[in-house]
Amino acid sequence: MTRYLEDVRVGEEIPALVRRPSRLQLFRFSAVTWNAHRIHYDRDYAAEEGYADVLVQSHLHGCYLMDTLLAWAGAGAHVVAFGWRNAAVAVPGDTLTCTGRVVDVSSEGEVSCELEERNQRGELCAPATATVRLERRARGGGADG
Amino acid sequence: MAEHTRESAVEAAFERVQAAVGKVATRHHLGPVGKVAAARFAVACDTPPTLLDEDGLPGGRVPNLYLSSVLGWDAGRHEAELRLDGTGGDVLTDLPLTGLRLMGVGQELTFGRPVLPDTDVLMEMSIDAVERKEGRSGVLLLVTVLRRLVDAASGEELVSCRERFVGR
Repeated sequence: MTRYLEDVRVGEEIPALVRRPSRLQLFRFSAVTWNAHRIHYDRDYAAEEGYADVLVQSHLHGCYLMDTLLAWAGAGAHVVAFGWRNAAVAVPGDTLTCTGRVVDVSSEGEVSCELEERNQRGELCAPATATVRLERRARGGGADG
Repeated sequence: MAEHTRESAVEAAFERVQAAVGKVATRHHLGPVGKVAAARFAVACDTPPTLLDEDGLPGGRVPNLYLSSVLGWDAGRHEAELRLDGTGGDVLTDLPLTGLRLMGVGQELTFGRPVLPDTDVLMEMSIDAVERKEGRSGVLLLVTVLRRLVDAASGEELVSCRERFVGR
């Protein structure tokens, strides 16, 4: 799927991506990022730190939001800038819903978006911003999705 | 740790970190980015399969957040050498953050050209900023770490990442 610049409008909603992190996912994400912090896989340690369960990694929140952006923009879209902030913790079993909207479209072909991730209680876990460069539709060409 | 001892440790860390702001602290040659490792990252993120090509990569590229999410690029340390929280021997080890318990609270990234598998990568790290704050549980530090990831062959910047940590 490729999203073309001409098809994007300010205010357009970015479809939701829902993620339900599991302890298995947190273990695999820690392994692949070489993150040995116990807070992500040791429930006893997490309890000592005052948490109900192990915590979803900061970077995994970012990845959920990046995937939300690319699921809308297309895997080949060139992300120019991206940022997120961890506002609340999440634990395995939470339902994290990532949404977004287009806030600006520049004449140079850059699309600015705001995104956010909320849990099942509606609490904001991670706000994000992104700028993505989209291709223009080839003259005489058609969309493919 | 008694509260006054903890606060003293944070104050000492503040002086140490502040003195390091703006100075490039470490340079690492990460080597070529492995295609399988990058694809595993996408799988571990649960990236939608519709975004992935036959190699398991989004658009044939290394996932955008891969380089800034990996915390260790060498063999690491033996368990006995790790801190009680399990950390140690990661990319932050060479920065003057000893004694602080760090929690990542987000990143601000800019991207150059897309990173393809097998790109040979160099990483520079430095302390970009440090602030002292009064939190609910006492004094804490907000430390911003700058990571620049560049193409080892051309010197072209691939990713610039400012990551914020709360240090207690």
